[in-house]
Amino acid sequence: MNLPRWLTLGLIPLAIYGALGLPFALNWSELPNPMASHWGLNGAADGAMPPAVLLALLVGIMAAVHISVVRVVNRIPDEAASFIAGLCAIGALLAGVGWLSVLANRGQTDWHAAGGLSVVGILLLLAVAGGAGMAGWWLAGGRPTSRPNADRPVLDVANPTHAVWSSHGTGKLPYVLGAVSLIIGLATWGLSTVVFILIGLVLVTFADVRTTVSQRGVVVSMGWLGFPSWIVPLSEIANAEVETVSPMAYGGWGYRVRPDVRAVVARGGDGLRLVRTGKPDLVVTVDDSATGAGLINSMLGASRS
Amino acid sequence: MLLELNPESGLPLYAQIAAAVRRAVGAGEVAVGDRLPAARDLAQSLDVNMHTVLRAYNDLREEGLIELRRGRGAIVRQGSVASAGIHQRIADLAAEASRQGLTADEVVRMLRKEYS
Repeated sequence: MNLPRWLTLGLIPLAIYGALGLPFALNWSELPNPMASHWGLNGAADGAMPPAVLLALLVGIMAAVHISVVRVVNRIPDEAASFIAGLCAIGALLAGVGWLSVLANRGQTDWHAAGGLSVVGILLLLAVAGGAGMAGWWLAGGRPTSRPNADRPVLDVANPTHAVWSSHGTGKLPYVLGAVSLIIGLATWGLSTVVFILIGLVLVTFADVRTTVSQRGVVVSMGWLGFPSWIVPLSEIANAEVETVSPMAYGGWGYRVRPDVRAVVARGGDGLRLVRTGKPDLVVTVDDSATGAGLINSMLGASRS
Repeated sequence: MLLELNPESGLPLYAQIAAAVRRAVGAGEVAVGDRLPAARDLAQSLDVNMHTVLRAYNDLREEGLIELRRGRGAIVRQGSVASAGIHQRIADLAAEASRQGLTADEVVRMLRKEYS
């Protein structure tokens, strides 16, 4: 499905703004002022703000995301689906946070008496956000699958079966974002800490990615420890392409899951795409990917002839 | 960086690996401070014994091309890019000279003469 942009970038956000306002509008008279707005690690409320401020905060975050997405989609129309998916997921997440907060506060006169957040509620929230993201992706038409101008170099090596290519891609931003995430996590001690620390660890792990091409296949390993790592046997690879990766197009850094493609993004720029048969493509950011793609293609050529 | 071995070449495998790394460093495919693949990984990839790779890395360390650090692997050293070419030519010269039956002393004497 491929809805026109005015629908995906106008009507969908409008529905999200509506969903943000609805729980407050329906229960305004039943909310304490201030209302509980932050929950500690044990699930009990430990912070509060006036309902109007919480609503303004949620709408403000949504508006910032909305404006950024409109601007990026105008600049990179090919990646519209990724961003609209992100818009829907974040919108659903914010709306869900609003609903859960209102439900926990409804009918109380003092925010201290507000109900706790349940793990089930949070899991449900994440599932709904994921579903909204997928719906957004589908409504916006998904990713263009054909890459007619794909660059598939072939390297001229005498003995492709006795050659090895090894290179890595290192990003500075994931280190910075990882550190920021860890600091935010520790500063806002509470339920969110675990999430921020996990995000930080993942970002730092994926900041340096090494890719090795040999007769064994393509080995992709993360970080200083080289763990996690995985191996793609040559038999699974149809061909290898050079791709200029834009982290925004994959929705950020780290291990990215998109329909039909998985990506390990440490930075923007030079990347290697492994086109696999019967499996999603794998994209890895790595320096000098033209040589790597060339060696893979010449190995494939040697094994098939 | 691209490392290529030639099974038909008369050169021992460790010398071929060392030569391939020198070429890659000289060509700028690996920058100063970059890590080379771990010896174990490279050995698996090239389907050779790990000690063959370690011997090549050891030779490169003695030439001052790389630094071997426990736990961090082999790191390309400062100033190694310029000397990588010279080391490779010396390696080629030694191989050629021994094929022609010249001893190391004779080659050194010939080199000295070129300098004067």
